[in-house]
Amino acid sequence: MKNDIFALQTEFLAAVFEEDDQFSQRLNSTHNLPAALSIKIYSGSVLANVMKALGEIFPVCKSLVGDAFFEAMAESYIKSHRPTKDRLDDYGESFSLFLPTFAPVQSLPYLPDMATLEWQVHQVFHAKDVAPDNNAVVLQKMESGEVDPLSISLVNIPGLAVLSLAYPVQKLLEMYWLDDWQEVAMDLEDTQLLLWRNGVNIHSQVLTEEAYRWHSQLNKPLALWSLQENFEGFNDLFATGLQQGSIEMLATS
Amino acid sequence: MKYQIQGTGLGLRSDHYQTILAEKPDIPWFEVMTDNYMGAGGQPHAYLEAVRQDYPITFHGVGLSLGGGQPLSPNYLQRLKALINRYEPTLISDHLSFSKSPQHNSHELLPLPYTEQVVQHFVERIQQVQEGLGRQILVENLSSYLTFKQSDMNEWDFVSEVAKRADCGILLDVNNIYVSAYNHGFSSEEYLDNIPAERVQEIHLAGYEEQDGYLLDTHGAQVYPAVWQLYQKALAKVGDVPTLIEWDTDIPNLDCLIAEKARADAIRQQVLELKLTSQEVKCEE
Ligand SMILES: [Fe+2]
Repeated sequence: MKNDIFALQTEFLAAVFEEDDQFSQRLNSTHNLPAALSIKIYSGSVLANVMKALGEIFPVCKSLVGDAFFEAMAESYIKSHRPTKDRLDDYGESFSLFLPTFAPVQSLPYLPDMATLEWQVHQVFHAKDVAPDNNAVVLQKMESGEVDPLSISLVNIPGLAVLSLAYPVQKLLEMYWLDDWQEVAMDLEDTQLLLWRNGVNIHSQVLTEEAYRWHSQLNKPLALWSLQENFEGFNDLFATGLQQGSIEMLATS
Repeated sequence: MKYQIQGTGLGLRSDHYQTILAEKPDIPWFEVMTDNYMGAGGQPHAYLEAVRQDYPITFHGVGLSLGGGQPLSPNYLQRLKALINRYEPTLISDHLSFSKSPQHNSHELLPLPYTEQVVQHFVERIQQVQEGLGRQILVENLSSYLTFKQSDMNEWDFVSEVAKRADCGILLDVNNIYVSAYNHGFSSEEYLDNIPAERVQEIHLAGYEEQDGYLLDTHGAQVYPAVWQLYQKALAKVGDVPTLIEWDTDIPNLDCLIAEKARADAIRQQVLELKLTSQEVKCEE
């Protein structure tokens, strides 16, 4: 019995995603709503909805190429990458990998990097929050001797991403954020970038090689003492991390 | 008071966060699209926390896929439960629809045939959700653009049967009744007459778009006169249940929504006063 519902649902979705039209046989056709139109209404709504979600996740890409170009790109992506996740917010991870395969994008070689950056902005936007006074509390405990410095670890905050990009697309992101578009050269230029969020504000910063290595390693907790040993610029990196709120101090007792 | 929330609420939309927090408009409650707050943190939660300080809220979701053939998503339910614990909504609702198969998620509210088998399927799933959440949910009737040859019952009997047997509430979307009645040629009044009034715990009002030969439920326009009329009838039947002005696309400024809310309030007052008067007359007899 349940199998019947299951089969119907699979056929319905295949029809909605224009993969199969068997489903129309299950429908009543009326003068105003023939079965083919019914399916078209649902297909159109699904496509528009998913396309809108992509536009919200990749607003800079959309601004750069314009609505019509973006819609064509999004439609082609949706056709080759069907949404399967529970949440529409989780859809679009592979958009940046898809873009180089979409022929018209070949004249905009920096666009895949832009999509990579925007996907990370989206992750950082929704990431878990950290208690704003956490580091101050740990530092105080360390100074008062309540916590042994050897037991302290550092880790990136959850709302942080480290990126290595071939184009300086963060310039486009910043212009979008400020709504101040200027002519900017998008030439090949290796860029290591940090993206992090404090409260509701997202920041970006170009990283030095050492800072890139620092944040790349801090995607998992590392002992403070080992970081001190391994990073020549430890004092600066540590101070900057605390001041930015991009690292979290963990005290394991 | 029959319910913890009363009167006409509005959907909480990110476009209005700032205005709501700055002006604290006189709105009795907000409906929150649960699926927009399933992320771990950040701006959506910061604003929802702040709004929640001043207003009661309800949760309205599109992601449960209550009619789905696959098992309910434990991850989705877990997130929903965490949100409920954090924000304590007065009501929790989703739709009498499904959205996914193993190969796809349409993120759309897709209808199923109206049959005993499908009733039973919904009943089991709604009960699972209610057990998992430890409280009752409301299910909303859809606007639809197709009917199944397989259906052997009316939509209103289907909705009523599911609600009674699952022991859940009904979120009666009056605009959806109107849209589906128009699209499929049934009577909106007959629909209303046959809905168990005692199960209706919330009403939705929204605007549709006229297309060539059918109506499209867009949630992107003012409520149409025919829907206001149907709302009057619905209130006369179900009494003073909270009502939501639902507006999700081409979202206007808050003042426009407040004007729609005022219209719903006026109708509510009129209908409920009339109801009261007629009850008094009855008492005198
Ligand atoms: Fe609704």
